[in-house]
Amino acid sequence: MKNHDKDILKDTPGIKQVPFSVPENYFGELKADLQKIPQHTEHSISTRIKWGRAVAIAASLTLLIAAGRLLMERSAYENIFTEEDFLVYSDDLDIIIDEEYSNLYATTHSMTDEDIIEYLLAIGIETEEVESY
Amino acid sequence: MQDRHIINLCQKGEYDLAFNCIVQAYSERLYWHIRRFVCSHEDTDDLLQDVFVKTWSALPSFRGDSQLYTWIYRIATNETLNRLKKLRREYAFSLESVSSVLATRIEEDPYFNGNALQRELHKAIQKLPQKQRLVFNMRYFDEMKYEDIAEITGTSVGALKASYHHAYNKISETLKKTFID
Repeated sequence: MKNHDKDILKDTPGIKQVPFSVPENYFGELKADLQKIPQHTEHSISTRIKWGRAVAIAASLTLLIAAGRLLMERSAYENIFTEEDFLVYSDDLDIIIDEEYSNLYATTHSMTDEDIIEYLLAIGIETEEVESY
Repeated sequence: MQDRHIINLCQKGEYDLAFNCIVQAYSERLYWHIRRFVCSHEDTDDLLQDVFVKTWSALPSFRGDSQLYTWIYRIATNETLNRLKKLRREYAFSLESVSSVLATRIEEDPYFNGNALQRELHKAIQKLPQKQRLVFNMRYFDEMKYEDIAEITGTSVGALKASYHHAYNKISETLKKTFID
């Protein structure tokens, strides 16, 4: 009965001791071998740096895409009226050519004083005012 | 004290020196930690090399946010669990379970020099579910604090206490049946 109440894991002396052995001088050789690791192994890039790089690449790509989209939208806005649209709209325009004015503009460089006076009178400027010029 | 010195070396960028100190301070402790899980000297030796290669590779990324010893034990524990996972895959289509493979290893281990009770204890540990085996080994043999085990395994202290309690009772019962009844 007394034995049955015994906590075998707690009350057995030496039960926690390591019951395994290793080959002779194993740990000495192991340490010497392990200390050679830096000679043939490089450090890996830390996860933090990897994440930093990933975030930088993602940010650059996002910026690039956003800039591209902005440019595309802008050029689409500028080209909102295509050449075809322009032709359609220009059909609706009534082009009135006043021959007299047209001749007047066409010959500005060879206008005489008389032509100017005639023009001023034609647009309703009083004779007195014309004479004062 | 030693860990503080190693962390200082890391912060100064003297990784070679820091690594040598880690090898001196941890190689033997980690050997026994791994050996209890894989139950074979050859596998432990092989795994230990991998653990130290990983430790060396990751050393510049160690910032001292966690304790050095829990960081190293986490690497060792993860490597060990990965090896056991691989072993489970190898025996996935076999009639033999991994726990019985590990128990056979203990039975046939030429380096086993304990008594019958210790042999049964280590065989009983192999039959525990993984989480219970982890916490039992670290708490019972290494007498680690629950907080440290929690940091190593990424489990809550409460869950670890419950797992340890179940594991302890199961093993006690198994040993009682064999050696007292």
